[in-house]
This record gives sequence, structure tokens and C-alpha cells, in this order.
Amino acid sequence: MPAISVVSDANIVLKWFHSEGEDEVDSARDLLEAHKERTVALSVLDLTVYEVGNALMRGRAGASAEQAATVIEALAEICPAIRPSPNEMKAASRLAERHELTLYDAAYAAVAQGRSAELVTLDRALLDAKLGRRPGELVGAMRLGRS
Amino acid sequence: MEKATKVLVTMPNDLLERIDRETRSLGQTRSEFFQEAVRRRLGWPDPLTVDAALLRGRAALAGLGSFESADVIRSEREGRDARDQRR
Repeated sequence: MPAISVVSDANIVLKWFHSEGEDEVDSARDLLEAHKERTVALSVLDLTVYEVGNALMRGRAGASAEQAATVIEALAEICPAIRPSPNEMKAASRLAERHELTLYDAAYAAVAQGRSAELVTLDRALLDAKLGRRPGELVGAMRLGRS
Repeated sequence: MEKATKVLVTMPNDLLERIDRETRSLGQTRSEFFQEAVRRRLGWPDPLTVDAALLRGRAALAGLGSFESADVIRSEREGRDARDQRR
């Protein structure tokens, strides 16, 4: 069975490493297990590295530079980071305009659409625009054999 | 750019046509497409490497306290977007 391609939003990536106070940690981590079993091909964007680092160091997480660097280094060993193509960034601009998203949000959706991948996210704006799916929803659909 | 070497590969015409359709749609060159595909093929995770990376990352964040990542990332994106708009 071919692997399902899944682009993971930064908010899901953080749940791979952090659990206290987080929603849908089990589903986010189930995707990692499927990635290890090669039934899911996880990827992130090049942007994700900066978002994860910034969220840890500059957001209310209050992590140190060393903590953030350890997570970023670990992420690089887990899955590839995609650099959006010029066409994908063009598509991202259109999605941002149509759905009133930031270009950062829209880049995830455009890359997933451009590569026939699922976008997993818990971002309200992306979910409301129906551009991504909650990890629990995707994992549930995979278990039923209808991703 | 890293040092690169040209290689000659043989490929069935129908597969090459599919690749060209895909590269046109993505706005990539054939070389970029092949590099990404090969990196991905080679990049399949070794489960032990993934587990070790997760252990290190989780240990680093142990004791960081309670937060919802979706809120932290949303706040970070909106802040960045607002700064971009002021420029």
C-alpha cells in the first residue's frame, strides 16, 4: 500500500515533543508511529523549523536556546523539510487572499495541495477554511481505511 | 551551491512524461524534482533514529510547563504577520 503523504503544521510538530496542556497529543504521535512504519510519509516545511524555534523561545513556552536547538535538531532526523516551489508560493498567495489567512498559514495548505498530501493542523483558521484536518480525524480515517 | 555532478539515467518514456507534467505543475526543474524524490527515498526514517530523536527532544522540553501549541503558533504567526504589514 503506498504511503499517505502528510504535511505537518508546526503546531502538530510541537506535540511530538511536548504534551502538558496539549490537545490531540495521542493522534499527533500516532502519525509518527505510522511514519516509522512507512504507512505515512510525514514532512514539514522549511518554515516549520523557524516557527517551532520561535514558538519555543519567544512565545510563552519560555524555552532556552539550547532546548529549542535540541528540538530543531531532532526534527531534522524525523522527517524532511520541504522548501515551497515558486508555483506553490503563488498558490499560497491566492489561498491567503481568498481565505484571509497569513501567508505562513497558506504556505502549508498550498504545499499540501500541490503535492496531493494531507495537511494536519490544529490551527483554527486552516481548519475553518477546510484546508487541513485535525490529526485525530486523519488517524481515525486511516484506521477505517478511508483517508 | 554544493558541488554537484551530472549523471545519465535511463527512464521509460511514459514515466518521464509524468515527471515532466509534475515538474511543470510545481514550477521545478527535472533536477530539482529528482533531488527531492531521492532525498525523500533516502530519508525514510530509521525507527531507532526517530525514537532517539524524540527522546532527546522530549527530554529537552520536560518541565517546560503547560501550553497548547496551536495557541502559541497562532500567536506567533499573527505577531509576525502584523510586523510584516507595518513594514
